[in-house]
Amino acid sequence: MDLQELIHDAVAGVEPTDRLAAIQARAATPAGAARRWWYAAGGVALATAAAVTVVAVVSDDTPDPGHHHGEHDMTADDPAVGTQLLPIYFVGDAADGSRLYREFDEVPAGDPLEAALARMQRPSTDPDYQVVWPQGTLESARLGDGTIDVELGDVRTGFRAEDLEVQEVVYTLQAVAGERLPVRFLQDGEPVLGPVDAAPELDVLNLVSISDPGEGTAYEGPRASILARGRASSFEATVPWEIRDDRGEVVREGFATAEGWQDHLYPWQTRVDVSDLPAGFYTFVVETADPSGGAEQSLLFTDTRTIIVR
Amino acid sequence: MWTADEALVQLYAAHWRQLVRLSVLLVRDQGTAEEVVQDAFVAVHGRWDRLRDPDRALAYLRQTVVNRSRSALRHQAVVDRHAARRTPSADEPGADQAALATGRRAAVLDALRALPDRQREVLALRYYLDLSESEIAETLGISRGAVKSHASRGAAALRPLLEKEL
Repeated sequence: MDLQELIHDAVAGVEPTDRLAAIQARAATPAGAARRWWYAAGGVALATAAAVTVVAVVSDDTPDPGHHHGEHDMTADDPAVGTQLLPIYFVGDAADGSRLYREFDEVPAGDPLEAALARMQRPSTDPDYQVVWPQGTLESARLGDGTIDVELGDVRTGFRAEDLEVQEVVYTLQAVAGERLPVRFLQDGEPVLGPVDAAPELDVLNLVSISDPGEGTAYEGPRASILARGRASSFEATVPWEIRDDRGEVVREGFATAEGWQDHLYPWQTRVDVSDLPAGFYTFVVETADPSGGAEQSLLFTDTRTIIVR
Repeated sequence: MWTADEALVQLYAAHWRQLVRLSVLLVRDQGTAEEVVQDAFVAVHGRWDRLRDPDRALAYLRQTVVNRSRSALRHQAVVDRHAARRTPSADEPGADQAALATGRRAAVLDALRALPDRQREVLALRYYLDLSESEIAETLGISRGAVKSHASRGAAALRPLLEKEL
């Protein structure tokens, strides 16, 4: 006997019981609601009632942050200036309200805390996320005595530690500092909030996120493949992904397996061959796995990136 | 084109037994395997609107069975450790295992069980389902190179264990 025969033989005596009726009964349970987000193709944000309101600005002459979009774009490509890649959190719609999403953004070289603060006040690279801190509301950030101190600008205070916009600043600055230092919020040098610790990941982060590819990454060539990675807390560590074409048709799908799932977000990674996809725009989608297999109205979290195949 | 309900019946008729056997190769216990594959069929029914094609549905079923088998093993490992703490000498085979445990078959399943997850999965997909390297790579979400190395390491690890049978 060779290995193939041995392996076939090992299970040749297995005669499973008939479970068709049980499967049909479970499959008949309405599952549409749990999947509805999926049909909102292309990363279209779900309408949620609990959208976080933009931080209230005190002065009326604060410019609309939207008008500043693109002003600093030249720095990224200017070799004389130099850049750094920083993890920046933004607020986005999620299955159960609003949560924090992380993207990696190229920003001008210089003090990373200051650069991160500036970046949070400009539009995210992924258009699915929102800016909740308008220009001028976050003035400066520096390492204090066992804390990170943030000086607020023209902004009405009254934040609470658990507010998502506060957690956005805490998560971003801790990630940039590489240390889980509590964050103090000051205005005119006077403490107004904190020190604030990061809330548990499962409470504030979207439960699946894409670190790579970045929004708008292009792939070309006969060996083009996407190294996709991110973090997730998804049922049984399974992270389903899909690539959809510009009509929303699924052209690739599979699973990545994260290193864990139960207590916080864990890294996942997978490589996807896209060498035979026709040139065009696609959406890379990850979701959290449905623990009910579609049988119940589970909350499914998702993150998307636009990719380009040339 | 089939409706989701029709697809379920067709896929069940064609693949239920084979997929349960695949899962037995991965998790050893037949009852666990049936649970795993049952879940996979419920999931494929929920996704039929997007799969719409028997081949893609089968690929999805396979992938789901492999992933859920792996999860079942992890869960089993936790249960086993827990049980081991309370009853240190409990190494008697369970009822399901006893039913399967006849000589050579048990030896092969034991040998598979002793392998790392990926090696066991690659061997099962290759030697039981006769999948190609690229199909295995796609099912497991790993590169073809990784499939090759898992396959050769797994086969090499099995040979001494199965010396008597081979």
